Amino acid sequence: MKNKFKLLYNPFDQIAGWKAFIIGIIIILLTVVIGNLNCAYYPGALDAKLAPDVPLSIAIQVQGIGLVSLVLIFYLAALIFAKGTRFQDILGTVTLSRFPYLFISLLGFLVDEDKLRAMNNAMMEGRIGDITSSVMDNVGMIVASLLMLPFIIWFIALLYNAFRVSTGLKGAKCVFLFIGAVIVAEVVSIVGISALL
Amino acid sequence: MLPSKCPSCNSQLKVKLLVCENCHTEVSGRYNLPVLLLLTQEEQGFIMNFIKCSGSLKEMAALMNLSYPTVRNLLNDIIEKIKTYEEQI
Repeated sequence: MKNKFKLLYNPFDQIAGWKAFIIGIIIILLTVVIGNLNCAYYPGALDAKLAPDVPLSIAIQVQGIGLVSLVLIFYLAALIFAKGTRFQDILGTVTLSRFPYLFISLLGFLVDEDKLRAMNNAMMEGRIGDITSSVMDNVGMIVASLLMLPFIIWFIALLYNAFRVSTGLKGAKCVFLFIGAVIVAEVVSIVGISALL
Repeated sequence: MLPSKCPSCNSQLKVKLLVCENCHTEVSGRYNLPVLLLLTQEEQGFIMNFIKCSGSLKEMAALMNLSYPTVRNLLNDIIEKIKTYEEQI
């Protein structure tokens, strides 16, 4: 029972490398496709947003940019500060660590897409009063946004374990390098997505 | 299992007497335990399996049902421990 629970926050003691990558990429594709059906969208290394009318091709590309930026920055950190890190271990563990986002995609079913679209239009046109009423009117969106938080926290915990196991780093050095790498990856992903869009 | 730490004060034990069961010769002195014997039973088992797998971490991972980086990290931990013991001797 304890082992099964451990698989939820650190499956990487048992699985890494290409096997983890294949499982992870299938889950990511499912996440993007399901998310695309109900307004969930992942524009960044860590980001999860509710946005209507995002073309599937764009949703896949931004998810890809987020994933690639995390993998490359983590691998760069490993090359500089750790030894013996294999690229496929970083790739596999980081990819698999994104599986909590599948649950976030499912949360999108709580959101009223028409109301979300109306809120977005009000934001773009600067109608502050309409934004407020749209938000208060869209209870599903508020609930989904709140419920996203534990899944994002779960993802960050998994991402940390992915980094720690793949690089072999420990203690404070591992923590600070992880935080630095995540921040850099987020910035790189935002720049990449801006260039795309 | 040969103990390596004193059960009373946890200091490192040394070998005082060795006996030949064939001719009953006794060799008495004060000898340091080999570094490998200072490791835990699990760590010694890991090293034995590592040798039996011809040093292949991939085979070790399959044998132990662990991921490759986890096995590599275990090996790195043992290497660091051995280096520490070698410095102490």
